[in-house]
Amino acid sequence: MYPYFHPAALIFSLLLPILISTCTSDHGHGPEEVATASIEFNFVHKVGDKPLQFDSVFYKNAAGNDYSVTELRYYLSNFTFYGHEDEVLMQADTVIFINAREPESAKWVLRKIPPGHYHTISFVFGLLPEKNISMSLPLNNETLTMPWPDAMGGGYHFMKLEGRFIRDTGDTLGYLTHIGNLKLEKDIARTEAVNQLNHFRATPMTLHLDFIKNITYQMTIGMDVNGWYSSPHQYDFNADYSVETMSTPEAQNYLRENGKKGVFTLGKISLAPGSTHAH
Amino acid sequence: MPIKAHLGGFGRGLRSGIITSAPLPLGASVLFTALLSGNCVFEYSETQLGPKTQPVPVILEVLHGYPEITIPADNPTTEQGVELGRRLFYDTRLSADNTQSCATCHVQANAFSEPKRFSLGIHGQPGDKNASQIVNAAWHTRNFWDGRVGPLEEQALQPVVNPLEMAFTWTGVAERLNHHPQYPQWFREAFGTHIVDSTLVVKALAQFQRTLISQNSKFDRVRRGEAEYTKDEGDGFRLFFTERGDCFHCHLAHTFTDFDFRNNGLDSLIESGSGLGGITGKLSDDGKWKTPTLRNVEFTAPYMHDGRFQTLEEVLEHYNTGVLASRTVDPLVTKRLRGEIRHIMTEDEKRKIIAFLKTLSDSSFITNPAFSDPWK
Repeated sequence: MYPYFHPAALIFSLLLPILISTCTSDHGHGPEEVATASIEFNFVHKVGDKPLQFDSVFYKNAAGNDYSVTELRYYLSNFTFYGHEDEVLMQADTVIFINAREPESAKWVLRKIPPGHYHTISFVFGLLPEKNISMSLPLNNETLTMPWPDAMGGGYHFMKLEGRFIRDTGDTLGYLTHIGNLKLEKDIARTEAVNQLNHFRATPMTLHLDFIKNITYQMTIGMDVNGWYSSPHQYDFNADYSVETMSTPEAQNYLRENGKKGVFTLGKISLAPGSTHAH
Repeated sequence: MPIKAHLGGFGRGLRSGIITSAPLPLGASVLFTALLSGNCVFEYSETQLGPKTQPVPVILEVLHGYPEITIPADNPTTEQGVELGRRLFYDTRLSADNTQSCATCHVQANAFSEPKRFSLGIHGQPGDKNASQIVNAAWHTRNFWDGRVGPLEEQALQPVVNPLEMAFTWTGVAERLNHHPQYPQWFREAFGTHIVDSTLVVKALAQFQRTLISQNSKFDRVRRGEAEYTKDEGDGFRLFFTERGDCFHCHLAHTFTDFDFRNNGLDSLIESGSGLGGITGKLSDDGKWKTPTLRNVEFTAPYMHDGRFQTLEEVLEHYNTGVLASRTVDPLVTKRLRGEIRHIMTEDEKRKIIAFLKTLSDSSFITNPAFSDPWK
């Protein structure tokens, strides 16, 4: 994509709940300093075990389609940290936008994490209904294309994954894997109204980690593009449901269930350069 | 402290002079003194030029559904800069033979687009692109069909020196404007200096173009609750903003462009280095052209980067049955290449989409006196 786009993930708001430990400054005066940990998230994109390369490389999905990727943009939100008994220890009411073509937008720093032991982490793919309100998120040249038309329920595309595939007939066509909440009225073409929520919470991923104050951790979250098309539903770009994914409940259903099953994984966790436990 | 003005070529061989009184308007005094002295360098006193005043800032409104405007920090929009830019936009002094201005190819009645397929330059030669419309240009961070330049300031540098367009030189433009009885004063009011150069000319042009804002179409009035669609317009709206018409992916509400570059399937053979690919050097960008806004599309025929379609009906039919596969064709426009009749729009559907497209017409934009020719 072109280099003039605005950078980075979007941080719209951060609500910190309880469990904030504090200390006073070394000089014993001035504002209170919050002693917390931070995480630098790095979102990586792959197809199977290969790093995602845009445009030129063709991959194969479970249905046997050879396909390339020309665009991958999506929202994640509501990052949540859990304890051993699945109790919520911290929740960041934050929406982040990732454009996989832009390395800088595939990074996000979560600050002010209260020290303590965290067992698992999870997040919402897309937006919770209360956040999925048309024109509620800031627009820039990267997010401009993300609104989901009001005529189909409004809010935002949770993901736009696009590219080309080689059809059964041998010619090359485009595919559009667009996911969002779908709302359609009953009309001439539709015997009943549709109101489908397609965000989902990713399966909690094991951290088993003690966050220590003033330490910055680095964490990788991976998306396997093939995961959207694999299981439990083998998704075929030749099929009728894949032509107009936004307004086809069957396609949205397949993609949501496949996404829940096995798209996101937690990768390596390490200390950020310059961060040591000696602090 | 005197200020030096460079009036190159005017009355060669005479000596320079200092104007110490101002019984005449500045331009007239300059002309008078230049005739007497004739050197390329003139000196003005502050008294002659009058007191410096601060240009009055203009705050450009952020439109509903638009991202924030990025305005270069060294070219804030001001009343004086905009008015100067308007004068320059309509001034034929910017072309070598004094016959063409920016407005020659960017006609207000056509939403500042070119009604001819290809504009003719001052020597009568045609270009090979249809001159883009200038509508809500403040939000465009890349300009020209192939995105070869960034902000409007960069864009404005090119047509003046393009041999197929105004075929002039920036030195020549500066010389003419520096000799003009009023321009030096207008530049001083806008930029604090009366010495005209290309940088200030394009800054003023950019300031004027940033004010060419269209936001009073029926579409806007319906959104504001001030109007209602007819049945056909409402049906067209729904077709446009659903996958049936599938126009909205590139022509977003409310900008009606995504400010991006796409290959919309006009040709099956894509030349290497064509479109955006000629700028980025990426094969995957070949044949991609800037997505135009559809605001005022009723007035901006002919359509496409090369003006190949004369009517909106032709445009709709292209997306309905005319898209051609190629190595860079955008995935967004290939649905109907599957050849399934159920995806083909009917005549009635196309008619309704066009009815909706005409709700994007903003007659107040194409008749706004603030955007019109100040020399008439």
